[in-house]
Amino acid sequence: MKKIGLCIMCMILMLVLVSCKTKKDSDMPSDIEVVRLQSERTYYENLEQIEDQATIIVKAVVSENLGQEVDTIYDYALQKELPTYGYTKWEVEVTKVYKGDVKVGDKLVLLQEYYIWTKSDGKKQLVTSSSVKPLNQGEEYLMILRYEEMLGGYSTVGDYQGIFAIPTDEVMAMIEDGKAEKSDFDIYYDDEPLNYLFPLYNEVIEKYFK
Amino acid sequence: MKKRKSIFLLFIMLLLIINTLLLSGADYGKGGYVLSAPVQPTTGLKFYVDYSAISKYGSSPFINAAFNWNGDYKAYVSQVVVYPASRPAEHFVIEAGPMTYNHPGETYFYTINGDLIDSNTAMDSNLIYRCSIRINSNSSVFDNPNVSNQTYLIKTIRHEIGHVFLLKHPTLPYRSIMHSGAPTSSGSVSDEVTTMDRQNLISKWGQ
Repeated sequence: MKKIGLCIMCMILMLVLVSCKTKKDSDMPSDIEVVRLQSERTYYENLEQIEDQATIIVKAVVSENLGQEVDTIYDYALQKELPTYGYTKWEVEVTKVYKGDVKVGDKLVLLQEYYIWTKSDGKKQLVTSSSVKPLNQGEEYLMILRYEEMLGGYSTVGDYQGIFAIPTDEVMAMIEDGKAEKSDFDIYYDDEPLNYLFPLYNEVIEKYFK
Repeated sequence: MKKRKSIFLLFIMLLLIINTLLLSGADYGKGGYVLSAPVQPTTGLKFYVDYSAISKYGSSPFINAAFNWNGDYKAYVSQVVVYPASRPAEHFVIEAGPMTYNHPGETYFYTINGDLIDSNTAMDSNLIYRCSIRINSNSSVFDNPNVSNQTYLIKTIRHEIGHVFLLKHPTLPYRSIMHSGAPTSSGSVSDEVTTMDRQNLISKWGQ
């Protein structure tokens, strides 16, 4: 009887530990409406160009949601503020440095171009200018970042071209076999082709993940 | 034998042209604006360029960009009013504000309740009541080794106005203002409204 109780306790403990490792944004319902914005984008041809644009290149763990900034315009006909551009600020803790004047343990502000907005019917929507889904708290990523002086934080160079989840062995094998598809990378939205991602993914794997 | 070969080649060319036309049809939204929307492409788009945009970039890039869309077809830009002139009764706002380096500009679509709509959903449905455009106020975003800062800025404004006409990013690499990125003299990204863009406008809104 004691053994069974101990086993159940261990299982509960394991579940708690697993759930603590990566945490989604707690304010975000899983079935939230996602609003993708039509934006003019800047992309880069290859990894060298992306690295040239970067102020820093690091591996970092997403540690804390620091809130969001949302701009609005006043619509005189509708007599209300309409949301336009916005971003969410994440604190990330550096675990490895490849480029730039930062060191392991430094905490940086990462700007991710999405925000949560409450609609006229009271329901929430996730508004995003990015092809990258909201990051998972507690998870580590490779980040190729540029400092945005006007916004007071770092953004990823070329949007999805500047952030990579640490690949699992399975994903690594698929990439090496040339069989990886976009659906294998859970951090990107899957409703656009991400033409500028795959040509540089092998280079990124070779340089930063092997 | 030669005649047969020629007919066969002509047939293949015809197929290619039809295919291109059909595929280019995917480069504009299937939907439109709410019938009661006071500003619509076929009754003339009216823009108000606000203080944030004028104080940063002046009026000429906006006027130049907007009227480049007009031609011998139904959809058109009828008015571009710039700060400090008073706002037209009905208009879409063009503003400038800080954004990351990744985004030279952005277009927003709203319902009659003022709720933001997903861009692809918006273009393929009949929910749009309002639009607004934001241009990045960090002018160094438009620095590019291949074209002047001003050319890239005007291209961006034109591109965003193209979205208000419900044109999408093209799926084929034909020369168009609607491709993302800095314009090039020979590639697919144009800094001017091209024949294919005008063809898409005609296909979408009528001659």
